[in-house]
Amino acid sequence: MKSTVLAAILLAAVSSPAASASPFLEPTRFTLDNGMTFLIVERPGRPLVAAVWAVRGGSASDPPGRRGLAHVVEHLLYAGSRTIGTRDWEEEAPLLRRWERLYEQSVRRGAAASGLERVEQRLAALQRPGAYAGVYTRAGALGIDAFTRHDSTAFQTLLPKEKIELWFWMESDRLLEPVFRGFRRELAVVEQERRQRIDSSPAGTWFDLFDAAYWGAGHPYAHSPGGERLEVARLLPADARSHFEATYRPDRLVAVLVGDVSPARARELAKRYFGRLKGAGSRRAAAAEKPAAPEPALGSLEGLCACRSQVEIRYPTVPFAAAGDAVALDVLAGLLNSRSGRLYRELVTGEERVAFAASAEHVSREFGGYFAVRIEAGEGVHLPELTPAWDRLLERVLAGGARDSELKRVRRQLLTDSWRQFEQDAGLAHRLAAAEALGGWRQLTRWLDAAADVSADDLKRVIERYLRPADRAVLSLTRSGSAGR
Amino acid sequence: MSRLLALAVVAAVTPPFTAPVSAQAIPERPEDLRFRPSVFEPPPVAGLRFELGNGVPVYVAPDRSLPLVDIVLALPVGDRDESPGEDGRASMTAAMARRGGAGEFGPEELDDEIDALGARIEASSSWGRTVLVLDSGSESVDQGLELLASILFEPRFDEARLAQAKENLRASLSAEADDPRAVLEREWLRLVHGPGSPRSRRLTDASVEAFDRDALVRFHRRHWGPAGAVIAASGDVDAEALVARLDELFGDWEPRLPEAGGEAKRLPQGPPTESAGDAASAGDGGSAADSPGWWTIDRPGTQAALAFGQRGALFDSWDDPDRWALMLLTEILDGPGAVSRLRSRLQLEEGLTYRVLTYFDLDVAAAADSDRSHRTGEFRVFLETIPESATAAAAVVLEELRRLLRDEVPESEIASARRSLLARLPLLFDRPEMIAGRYAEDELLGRPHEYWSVYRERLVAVTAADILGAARQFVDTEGSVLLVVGARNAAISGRGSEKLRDVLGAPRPLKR
Repeated sequence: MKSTVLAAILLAAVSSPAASASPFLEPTRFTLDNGMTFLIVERPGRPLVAAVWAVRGGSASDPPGRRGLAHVVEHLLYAGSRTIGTRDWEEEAPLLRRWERLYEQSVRRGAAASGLERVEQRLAALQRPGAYAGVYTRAGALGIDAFTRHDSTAFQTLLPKEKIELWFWMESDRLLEPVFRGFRRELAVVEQERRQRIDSSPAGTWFDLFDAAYWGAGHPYAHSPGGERLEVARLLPADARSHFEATYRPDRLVAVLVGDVSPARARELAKRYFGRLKGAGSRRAAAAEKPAAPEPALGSLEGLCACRSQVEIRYPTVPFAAAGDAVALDVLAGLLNSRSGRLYRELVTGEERVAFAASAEHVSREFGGYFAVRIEAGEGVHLPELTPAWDRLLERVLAGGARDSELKRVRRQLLTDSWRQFEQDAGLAHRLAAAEALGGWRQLTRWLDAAADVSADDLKRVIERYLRPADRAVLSLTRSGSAGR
Repeated sequence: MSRLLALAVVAAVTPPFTAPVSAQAIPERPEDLRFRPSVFEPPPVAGLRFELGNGVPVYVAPDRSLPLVDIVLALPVGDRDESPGEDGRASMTAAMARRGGAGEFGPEELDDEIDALGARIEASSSWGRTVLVLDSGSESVDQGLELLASILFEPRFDEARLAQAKENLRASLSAEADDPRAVLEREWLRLVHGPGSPRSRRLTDASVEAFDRDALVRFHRRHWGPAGAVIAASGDVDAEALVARLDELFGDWEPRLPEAGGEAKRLPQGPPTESAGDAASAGDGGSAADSPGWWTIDRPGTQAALAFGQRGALFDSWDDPDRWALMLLTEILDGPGAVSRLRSRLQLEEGLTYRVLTYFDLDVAAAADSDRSHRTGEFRVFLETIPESATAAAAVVLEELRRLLRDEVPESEIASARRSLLARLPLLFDRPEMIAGRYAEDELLGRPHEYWSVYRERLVAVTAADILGAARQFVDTEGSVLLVVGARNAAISGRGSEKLRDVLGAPRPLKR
């Protein structure tokens, strides 16, 4: 009895807002005169510093007919600058301009302009592909990678703590005067990446098509960050430059350093190196240009797939926020997930037993969000049985409400999960950068506090408000016999 | 030497960190930056090791920065311990130990208990090890450990959960045929190791049928013992208190096998002796691959997947000179950190692929290993490309391997590969969790802790001649396998196909 009481007190302590993640996460934040923001998390003793910078702007900003542009620019930023990646910039610059003119002509005509190959060969002799990564790896840096997401694009490097100044040099250099070399080759690599990530997975293409149907043509989230093959192939260097100039402005940049680096030193280096970037627009201009995204089209889709039969049910919700309904929907996903969650208990192992696996997710981005439930059919279960089973589950949650023990479980899991995300330096750097780009890093801890306050009534409210059968789209994939056997 | 004198000497030989006058200036090139020298030394192991009453070693690396604790218990048991007909038994035993209930708790109650703590407990098994992991907030670590002990000692292997798992496995097996990467994996292992090798054994409907509760109980009873087991703990813990608690829970665990887990062997100091060089590249079989040649599996689609390679290397010692040479060779060929040969050609020059994945298993056989042929892993280059480019990409891989067999690697490339390997060394010890885990793994594998302190000097000692010698001993392009899964007509007739034919013979459709 005594131990039960003690356990109850402990549980209460953990799930109260007082025990939030805040005391464990206090980055030093500063902003340069040009608007670029820095967050420093000092972790003494770590041999490597995780350095991440992100720009507010990802595939959602791809213009019509140029889907994949943000992703291509991410790749091109590894081609170097006037200093890195060339044997002789003075000689290379005019040739590069000529190549671009010839290339543009070739794309417009649909046939290679005469002289293109010759200029390409001369450029090849002057350029040093891989030079950017080479400078870093010679200094012992690693994990050099970049990620184009819907709302942001992030660039990461891990480097020995003694060499942190190299990161300031390299990253400010490519932001200051990038040179987009090897344009044609990079288009091919982007195309390969898309094939490898999406096209070669049996269900990948379908989820891509579902995104298009769900959001509807023209919506910023209707295409994957990877881009569209035919549109990528027609991109021009001038497209890349204008995207870079409009998006990669200091007031849209956030840099995060996690590791054995002092905030004072970081501030001094940030001023010296990134202070060189010219602030092109004010914050107000950046806010004003955020377009109102159209409502999702809620298009459903059915198809055959060389995959397990499954459905994904999507309900439109709200854009990212660290408060209110957005957080209640996140907690709802927690209630449904994990082995003691409702989906597993009721659809995978319980009475209904229709699913091989099931999961829920609340996806919330800058311009909109959705709540998704994915259910893979169990053996011998027909696809049309899945959605009604899910509906019955929701009715039971509404009728009985979320139990206290369930809510406690979810709060506790969310709290330890977020600590786990703070554990790893590069992961934390990415999370901080993304949160800062979406309105401030404190949303990470604010979100946790808000999650601890979500009640059973809140869950009922968001189910009734958002998870309505009339407002949803469904992707239904039926396994197509035995493809390729 | 007096302290003052020592300081003066250091000052005289150390270059200035920054130019004093132009401290605010930005150098023209990154190479002009001057840094404090950074030579990473793995953290000392002294003080981290404890022992339970039954001799099970525990490595503890405290870190009070977050209220989290990680505990890993690893047993030297895995697929390699399965007898013929027992395929998948090791993995299934681990999975069901966690999922099938334990001690007083049925399967659902166990899940409830773990989830209510906000903790995670997972059990899994691979080729050579079975791992139980507890990952929890520090205030629930005590309850979490009790659950972990329950799973270890008294798993219930619930019949209903087992039946469900079997049903799911059968479905996964039939879905595997739809996934080109899974098909490649399965068939590649058969071509390299031969259909009878435990390395290429894969689950079948029949082996899934053979999983009954008794089989799992037997495997658990026979193989899950303290012999060779290790524990690694890190996070928000007091080392002494944690070890005392672990001793209460695991210190009476009785051995089921006669031989007990020994302490890690010590490396001889100084250069290794000549006699270490009797390693075999291909286990007892002697050939690079069981069925060498160019094989194809016809699959419609816009992407082809291919793997090129052979058996890996097997050594008697972690400190075999050829082992260090092959680490550098792999890095030169396709290091993740460096601008490697395959990446330069396939990605930067020709844009044929988005990513190449190369690994070279450099296994070390314990003296006690009776069946050495099973110890040998693989050397594999894997990539995906459009079917029309499959031959061109494979030909590049072949050319680069032959270049390594023909010419000494230039010193500058060796230096860059060495830098890249050394750059990744800190990642292996990056967080307390990694430090405890790495040193515990040493003991699990029989790898001496000194391996890490000689790591740098051994890599520095490798010469171009060493790499060429190791390549010639361990890499055999004629004896290799090229397996291409993709649209066959396109995938065999592109640029480079003649070159592949010359070395590997004509492409043959693989009968399955």
